[in-house]
Amino acid sequence: MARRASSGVNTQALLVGAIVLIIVLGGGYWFINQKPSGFDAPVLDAVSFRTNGRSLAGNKNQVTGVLIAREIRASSQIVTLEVEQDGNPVHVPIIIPDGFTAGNLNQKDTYTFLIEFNTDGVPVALEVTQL
Amino acid sequence: MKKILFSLSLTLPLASQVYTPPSGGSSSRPSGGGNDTVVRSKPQPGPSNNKTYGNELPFYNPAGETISWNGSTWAASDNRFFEARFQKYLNEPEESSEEAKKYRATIEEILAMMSPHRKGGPVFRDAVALLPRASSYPGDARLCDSLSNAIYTAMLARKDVRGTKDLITAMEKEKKRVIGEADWKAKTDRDIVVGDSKAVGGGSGGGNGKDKGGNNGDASQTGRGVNSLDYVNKVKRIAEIEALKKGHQLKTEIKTELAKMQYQALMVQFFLQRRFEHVVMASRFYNQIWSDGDGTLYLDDKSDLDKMFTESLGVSPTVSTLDSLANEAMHDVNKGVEAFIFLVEQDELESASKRLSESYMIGEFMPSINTLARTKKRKVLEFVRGSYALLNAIESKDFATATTQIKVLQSQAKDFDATKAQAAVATFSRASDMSIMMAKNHLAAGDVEKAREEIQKAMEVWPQNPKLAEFDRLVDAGGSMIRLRNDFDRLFAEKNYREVFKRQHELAPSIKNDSDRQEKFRQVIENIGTIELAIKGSEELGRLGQHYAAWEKLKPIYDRFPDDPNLNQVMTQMQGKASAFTNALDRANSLEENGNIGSSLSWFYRAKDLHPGSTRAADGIKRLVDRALNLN
Repeated sequence: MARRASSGVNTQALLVGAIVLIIVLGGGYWFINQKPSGFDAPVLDAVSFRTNGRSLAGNKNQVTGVLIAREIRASSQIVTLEVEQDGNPVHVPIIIPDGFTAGNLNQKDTYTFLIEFNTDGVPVALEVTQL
Repeated sequence: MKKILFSLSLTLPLASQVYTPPSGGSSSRPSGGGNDTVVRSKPQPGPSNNKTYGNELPFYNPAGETISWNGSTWAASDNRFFEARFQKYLNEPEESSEEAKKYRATIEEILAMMSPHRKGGPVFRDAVALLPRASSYPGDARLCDSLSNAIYTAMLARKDVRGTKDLITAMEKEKKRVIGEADWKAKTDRDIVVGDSKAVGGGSGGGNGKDKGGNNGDASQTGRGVNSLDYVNKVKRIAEIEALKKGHQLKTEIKTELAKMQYQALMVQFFLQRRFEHVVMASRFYNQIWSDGDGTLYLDDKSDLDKMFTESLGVSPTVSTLDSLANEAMHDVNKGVEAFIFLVEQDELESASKRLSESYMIGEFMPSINTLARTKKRKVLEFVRGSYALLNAIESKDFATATTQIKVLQSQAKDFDATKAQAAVATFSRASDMSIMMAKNHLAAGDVEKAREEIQKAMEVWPQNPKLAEFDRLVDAGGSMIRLRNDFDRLFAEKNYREVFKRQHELAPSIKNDSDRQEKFRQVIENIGTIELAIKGSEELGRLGQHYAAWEKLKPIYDRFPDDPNLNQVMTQMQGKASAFTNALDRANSLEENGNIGSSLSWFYRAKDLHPGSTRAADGIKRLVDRALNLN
């Protein structure tokens, strides 16, 4: 007598599906609630900066972007991040002051800078993390 | 001698080859001459002493080949009259008709008959009889008729003289008879004694001798012997007869001289007409008509003709002189024709034409000239025409034609000597060119008056100088130059530099010597050249899609020349295509001016992002980085 196919729940499959669901939902939650650089400062509104940087003098912000240029002088330098905002690239120059220790900054790498605007409206790097 | 012949030969064409009676009053004519044409033996008084037959004698200068006459001088080889006759002669066929041959044979026969060397002596009557035959030939121009008429007149004169001599002889007889009667009367007449009736009878009654002796000698009574009226009448008659005889003798001599003078006038006329054969014939007839040996020509001893003979020969001219001159002329002509034939064979056309023209001038009516074959004459015709064309060109100062003609003549005749002509052309053309050059210099210096004087000189020397046309063009251009210079100034005042650039080739000559305008012109051309070059380069980049680069390339030029319309137009067109880039730069610059360094730097980076090769963006970034880092 032929054996009747089993119609019971495949517990193994259910288990795998539950695990995947948990991972997806947990990741989403993390993604939504994470801090970009991990700095405790608001994200820079790049468009506002480009419009009038001097109005931001004294503000602290964090900004994340791809390092596209370095202008090195004797003991200091300015790096430029290309930040994408509203689908448009905005370039944010950042002064790397003398004595700033950030390891190697490489072009085309993505970094998050904690910055503070000086009186000329130029961001000055306070901290940096590479993403 | 040749000089004299040449002078004589040249006399005729100019003196119309006619005999012109003297213009003096009737008192100068010999009595009894009537209206006869004679050559006077007495010098004419007053200012007409230097005239021969009423006309001055032309003078031929063989050194300069010129003829002087009536105060004017012509070139012998450049005489229009002679030129026409000579060219006509060169085109004429030779005289080879039967009539011409017969004529020449007749002339030769007459000369042979009258030759003093003929056996049996000259045959006067037969020779005279041939003259009418010779005269029938048209080429003789009835001169033989004139000669026969002169001979006839002379013979009549001789006959008349013979009759007069017979009359004189009869008169002499009558005179002797009257003298005899008078002598007898004086010898035999005695006085009558009163009462002596016998004596009354006159002694013819045969009275005795005592009675006669009683009368005591010659008759002394009135009415007797030499005291009678009869005797006085006889003496008077003798004187009358003697006077008549002397008168007839004088008349005879005058008639003889008149006849000679008329005949000699014809001979001189033949000589001056260059009818030398007729001169020789007339001379030989003369010697037969008047065999007295007196052949002296009756010429005015102060006339040119007399001087010509006496000064060249040193003696008074005679019929024999004319005869020998005529013979020598004929000889010269024949030799000249021989030389011509030889020179033509040698292609030495210049010498040939000269020899023939000389021979023609002397012996136009000579057989050797008239029988010269036309084929030979034609060989020099072209050369002769060319020679006259050259002379005319030089005379009319057409040196361009003269130069051409010299080359033509050199190619035609290997003996053509162009030295004089070339020297003349070179001298005059150079003088003219020099004046034109001076005029140009004066014109360039703005001295119009001096330029005009120089041009006038140039025109006087060589009216058809081609460089005069060049000068005209220069003057015309000078007017245009002023107009163009005004245009240049106007365009500059209007700042219409594009028009200056457009008409640069037209305007450039007008400011050639103006340093200020030249500097302006140079700047305009250079700047617009730079603009055009930049426009072309930017257009090329635009075609490659590099609009930002195209704009950036043109921007500095535009900043230098913002008023150039073409550049403005191109920049306007590019503005739209490069607006993102230009907007970035504009905002960067604006923010930089406001001291908004961070924002400005951001825009410069944006511009560099759009156009990585942008020097403006690079410069801005460098400048602002330095400023941001407080390096400045």
